[in-house]
Amino acid sequence: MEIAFLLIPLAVMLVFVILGGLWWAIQTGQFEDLEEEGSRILEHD
Amino acid sequence: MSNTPSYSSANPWQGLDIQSEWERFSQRETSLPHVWISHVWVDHMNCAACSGRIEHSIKSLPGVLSVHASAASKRVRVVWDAQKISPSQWFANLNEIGYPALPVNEYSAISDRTVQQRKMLWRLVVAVFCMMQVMMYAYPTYTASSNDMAPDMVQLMKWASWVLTLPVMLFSATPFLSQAWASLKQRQLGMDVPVSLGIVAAFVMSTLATFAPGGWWGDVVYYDSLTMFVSFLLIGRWLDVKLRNRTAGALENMMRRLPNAVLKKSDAGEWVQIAASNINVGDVLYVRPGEVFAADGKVLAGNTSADESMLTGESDPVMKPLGASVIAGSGNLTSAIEMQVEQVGEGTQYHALVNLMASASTEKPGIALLADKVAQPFLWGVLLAAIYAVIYWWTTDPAKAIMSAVAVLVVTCPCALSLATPAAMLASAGTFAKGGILIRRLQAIQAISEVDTIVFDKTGTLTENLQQVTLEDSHASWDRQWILDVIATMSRDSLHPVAKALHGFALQHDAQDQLVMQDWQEIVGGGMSATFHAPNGTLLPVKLGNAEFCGVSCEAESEALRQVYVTSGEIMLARLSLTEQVKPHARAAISQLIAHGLDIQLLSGDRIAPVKNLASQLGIQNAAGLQKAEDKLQHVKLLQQQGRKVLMVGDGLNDGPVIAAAHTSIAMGSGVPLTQAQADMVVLGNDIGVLVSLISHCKKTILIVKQNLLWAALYNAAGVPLAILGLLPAWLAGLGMATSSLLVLLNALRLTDWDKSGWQKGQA
Repeated sequence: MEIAFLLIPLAVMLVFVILGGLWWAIQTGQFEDLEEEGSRILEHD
Repeated sequence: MSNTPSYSSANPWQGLDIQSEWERFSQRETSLPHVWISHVWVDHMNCAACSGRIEHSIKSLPGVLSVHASAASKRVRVVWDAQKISPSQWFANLNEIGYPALPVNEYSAISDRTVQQRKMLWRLVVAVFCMMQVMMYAYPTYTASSNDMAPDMVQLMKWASWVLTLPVMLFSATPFLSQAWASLKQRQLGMDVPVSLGIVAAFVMSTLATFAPGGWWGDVVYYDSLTMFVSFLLIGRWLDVKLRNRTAGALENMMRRLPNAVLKKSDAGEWVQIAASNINVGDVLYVRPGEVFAADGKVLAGNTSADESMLTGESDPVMKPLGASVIAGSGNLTSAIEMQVEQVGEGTQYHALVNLMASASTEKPGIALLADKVAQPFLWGVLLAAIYAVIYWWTTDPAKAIMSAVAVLVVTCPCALSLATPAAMLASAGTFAKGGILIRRLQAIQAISEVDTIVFDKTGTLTENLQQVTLEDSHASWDRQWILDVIATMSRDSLHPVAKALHGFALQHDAQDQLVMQDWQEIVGGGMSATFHAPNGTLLPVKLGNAEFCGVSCEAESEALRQVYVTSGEIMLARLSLTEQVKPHARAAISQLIAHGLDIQLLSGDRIAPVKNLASQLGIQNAAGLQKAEDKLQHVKLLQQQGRKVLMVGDGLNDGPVIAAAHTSIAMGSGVPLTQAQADMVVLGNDIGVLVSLISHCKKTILIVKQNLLWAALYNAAGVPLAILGLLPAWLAGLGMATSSLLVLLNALRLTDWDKSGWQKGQA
């Protein structure tokens, strides 16, 4: 179980990396128009 | 238009090329000083294919860095370099490919709301994501037996949990903590005070247990409960922000309409572009088709039609001949005109409408005020209960004392209670706004749910605008077809609704409207006169109009709303009657309302015979004609003395005292000038059937508010004793609190589903 002493701190750091990604997604408005973007590819001319 | 404005060859958007102008709809890119982000509103962009074309076309211009078009909001975001391109160039390009654009002038307000919503979502995401991780480290401590895990491993997990809880405490929970602090500074007890006390106490206890285990505080950590509590509180807040923005979205659509720059006739007689904020009363403006009128005024030159649907609910274009008044916010449809400004800014009908909608969205309904009143003593009760829990347990187990107090604070968190009313009201208001119903006062939802009597104060609400024409009589010795030709020809060029109806009627009966006619004249409030060549070759002066105008002495008795005569001198050539046509869904709607126990009455200022006729067609028992405003007021007061709750339905215009006296009121029917309507709710459009589902939806809303309040009260009543007795661990208290809040919100979200077709199922 020694590996957990390495993995738990790594996991915590990974959380902050992922949160960084989510921050980017929110700030660029990825969650603001959920319906339209899905149908966009179907209607492109 | 005889004179073409001099700008026609130049780019009409040149006025936007001044920095102060484009700053009104643009934001500077923070890292690059000469790069700007602009938001424009684009007409005719209705599908994703359109947005693709716009993006493709604008992106190919040199100096445009990126484009994003959203068909849903009809908005385009353009990032451009001021050193390489000017706004007028890409505005012109948008126009060339068929999508005329308007700058979004209230950019800052929109951006504020977006920023607020993003920040709330970000707080929520941080809290939820950290909560999930903390749960993973908490899970083994719940399941493993005491000697399964090494003590240093347990300690490592506590540290990891602490690190993950920090962002939740320091960032996600700050709205609660700072609001609690603010209300304490004002020596007031806000909803956030007990919540914050609970959060801080749990965090302090857990931190002590992590870094200094073994004190009186014990060595149990509550990071999982804490993060979960904050997450669920934030879900409630976020849904609240979303609901609010959804309602505000309808308002925003309105405010986006006015143009930013207009063409004004200068003293030298040339057309110059000026900012819309610089328009003054008396200015002469040039408005092209497809543009929106920037101010109230009248047509000075030209002849066009306008789309006023947004302001009046009238979906058909309205004719705007020379001298007609045009209103700010309506669209110019067919041809370019010159207009003289009579009202600007705050004085316009458009502004009155925007204010009306804004006030509706901020006003608190009566039932919500009640909840606020209850809140203060309730919060004191909560604090006392928490203190009691501490005292009760302190001597036996200090750690348990603190955590019982936390459980009390958490379980009583009045989120559910405070969400109960606004969530339901806002959900309904948003749904109504989407369905073309504007709510002036949120109280109206409650009031309408209570009515038992509906009084229609105008026949026009129940009947079509178009009038049905019948040829009652025509002179035996004249050719009937020729008379119809005369009617068609005379009514051809008039804009009066009656003339339009006559023209349509005559054409239906194979009449020609191209007879040779001389000296055609229209007399307002009377009719028309002209001279024709009779079939026998003589010149014949003909009048078409009402009895007085045509010199008919005794009007025939009739159930018709109006009678029209065609005369030549003393000879009456024909008599026509116009009747109102019952709206297609009116009968079904009225019988549905009656079936649900509502008493329907009709009070009209029209003549008695047509009113009675209409009432019998619709199955209305109680109808009266020739009613003046005083009579109506008297009638409504009489009903109220009998203990009835009266809903007035009409155009909401001329019956101010009646509307004020009635319990509540709805203005409906096309052509209602919204801004002057004093009614509590305004139904855009013409469909009377909406009324049925509107009333049933209001009833449903109040039912859901009551369910929510009852549920929240029951939950709190059951939770507090359990928490004081220490039977409710903090995590369970948090879960209970969150579940009750979510139930309340989900219950409210049922109201966003609105079936407009009739009375909703499952209702009394």
